[in-house]
Amino acid sequence: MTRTLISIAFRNVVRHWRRSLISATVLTVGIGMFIFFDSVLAGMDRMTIDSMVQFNDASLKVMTSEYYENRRTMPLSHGLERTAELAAEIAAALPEATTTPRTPFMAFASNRIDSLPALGYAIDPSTDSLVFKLENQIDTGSWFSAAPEEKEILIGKLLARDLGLKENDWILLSARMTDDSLNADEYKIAGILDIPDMSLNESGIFMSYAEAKQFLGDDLPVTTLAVALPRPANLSKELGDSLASAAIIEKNHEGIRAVSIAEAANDYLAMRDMKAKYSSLIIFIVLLIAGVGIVNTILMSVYSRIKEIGVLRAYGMTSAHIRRLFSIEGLLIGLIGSSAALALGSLLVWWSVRSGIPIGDYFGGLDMGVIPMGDGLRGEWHPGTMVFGFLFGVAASWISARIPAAKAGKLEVTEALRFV
Amino acid sequence: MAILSLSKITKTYRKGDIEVKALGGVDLELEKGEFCAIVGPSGSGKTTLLNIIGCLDKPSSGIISYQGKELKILGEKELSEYRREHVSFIFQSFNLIPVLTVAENVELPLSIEGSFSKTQMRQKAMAMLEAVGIADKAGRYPRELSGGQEQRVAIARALVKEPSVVLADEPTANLDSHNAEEIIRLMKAMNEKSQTTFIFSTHDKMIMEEAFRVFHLHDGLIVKDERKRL
Repeated sequence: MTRTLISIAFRNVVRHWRRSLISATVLTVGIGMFIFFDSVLAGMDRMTIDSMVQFNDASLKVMTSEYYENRRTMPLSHGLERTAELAAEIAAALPEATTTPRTPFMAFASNRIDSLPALGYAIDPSTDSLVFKLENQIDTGSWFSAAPEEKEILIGKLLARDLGLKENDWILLSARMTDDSLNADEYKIAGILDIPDMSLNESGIFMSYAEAKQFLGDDLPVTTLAVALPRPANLSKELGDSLASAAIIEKNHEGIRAVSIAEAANDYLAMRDMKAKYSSLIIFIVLLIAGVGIVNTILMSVYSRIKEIGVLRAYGMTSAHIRRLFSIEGLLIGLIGSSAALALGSLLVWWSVRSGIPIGDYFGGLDMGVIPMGDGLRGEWHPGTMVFGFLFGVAASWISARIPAAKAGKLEVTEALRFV
Repeated sequence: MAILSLSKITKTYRKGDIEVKALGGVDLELEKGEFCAIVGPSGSGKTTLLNIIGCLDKPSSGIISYQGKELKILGEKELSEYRREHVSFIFQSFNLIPVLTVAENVELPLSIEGSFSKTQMRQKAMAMLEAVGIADKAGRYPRELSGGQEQRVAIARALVKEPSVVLADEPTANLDSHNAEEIIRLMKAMNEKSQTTFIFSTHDKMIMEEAFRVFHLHDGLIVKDERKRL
């Protein structure tokens, strides 16, 4: 019997292919977009966290509690004491961790005509690459040379562009020193960094601790110790590991705050969650339209086949059989639509993973803040979402079809046979 | 024992505030292998009576029994089972399933019954199509057939499960006289061969002439039970 029901249902779906196609297409677009948006959001998360971890926030950053309270103003006080011992203790507690010191400071950069606010970093060029990927981002010029008297600095590409500077040009920096007096000095641009993090690209200035001490004061403290942890492929696990490691460090060191990447990315993740909710709402509306389409398609199918329902009932089919027949039709439309959605979604995800979505081009190089858009937005493969999208589409179709199917099942046999 | 027995069957419909009495107390008994017609003017209750015999509709009062078993007390599932196993229908407008081929249409009652393999169903369907002279159209769809051919398929569909009773509502009304004659001859041959009871509702004089027994229905009552042959 089931085989007969499937056969009749399948042939009716094919026979009325136009209306079946319309319903399936709406489902395809809805589920396909759901798969694609989810991939893009996951890619955005990955790229943003990558950028934060690789250039600014590391897996976690260690600082004093006092510095943590004032970190937004980047003070040159409340620095860490016994930095080398602290790094060794962290390495002992977290054997796979690597560390490097960083002291951020506020500055102004000038080409002697224009002046722009800048975000300075005192770094240790010999250990920075153990934690950050700055060295890989040299666009023109080179990394710090071994000779400290050169007064070398590295700056972000957009900052260089805005000031009309290139490598080997001299840049005038001014900043408040550790004793709060103002200092200004000229530095040679050794290299220009093309950093995916837009804020660093627009305002980042990097100099060695040796240069920074001359510029900001001999007593310049190490205010943050950046810690790199092994990075698992799963983003949630990475955030969880970071939180757990931060907790270990805080437990072992009184007066120390360890800011995990999960905490540092909190604002972004909250914003992303809000975006995801809006995206889900749009997808839900599309799927609702698809559901209404399927109800309509099956209802039309019921009305055009009332007499046929009467004949099937007359030959011994029960109401349950009739309900099953029309539910199978909905299920088939759902299977067709969801399979096509899987193909469409996979194609879009493949394209976004392979080529990247040139979203910066679409928005005229719009600054997306912490979201790195330089090479385009790359999606991520999410097999779980694909399976969920497929099953959701099939289930939604089946549930939608049950409404008109129930109507078909309730038809009186004699009325159905009399229907013209 | 009578295969079908109806006692004091009434059927009342409501049309808005008006109560319409379609059957006013019908008594009849049918033996196995009878070839009988229910005749009467439009609105006399022919189709209602057929529907009640076929358990497509329930009587307002009265008792209907099949092989001594009262049918009124059965639930929907049991009535479907009764229709599935014992009764078949032939309709005025054939009512073949358009998406199924001729052979698949004939297999349909067997498939609903559910006790045959695919091969058995195909063999039985082909044998029945052979019997109604339309085996060469087995792979065609109903839209590719003439009216006469469609009704032959409908007859094959009705007989393939070897029912005890075949109910035919105006089976020749949509056919020309030549095709109508052929169809009547075919049904009569089937009746003689398988001893299946045929009950027609009809205006067709040819059927009335061929029927062994004619029930004359008027205003929901059998006014004459005409036995032409035993």
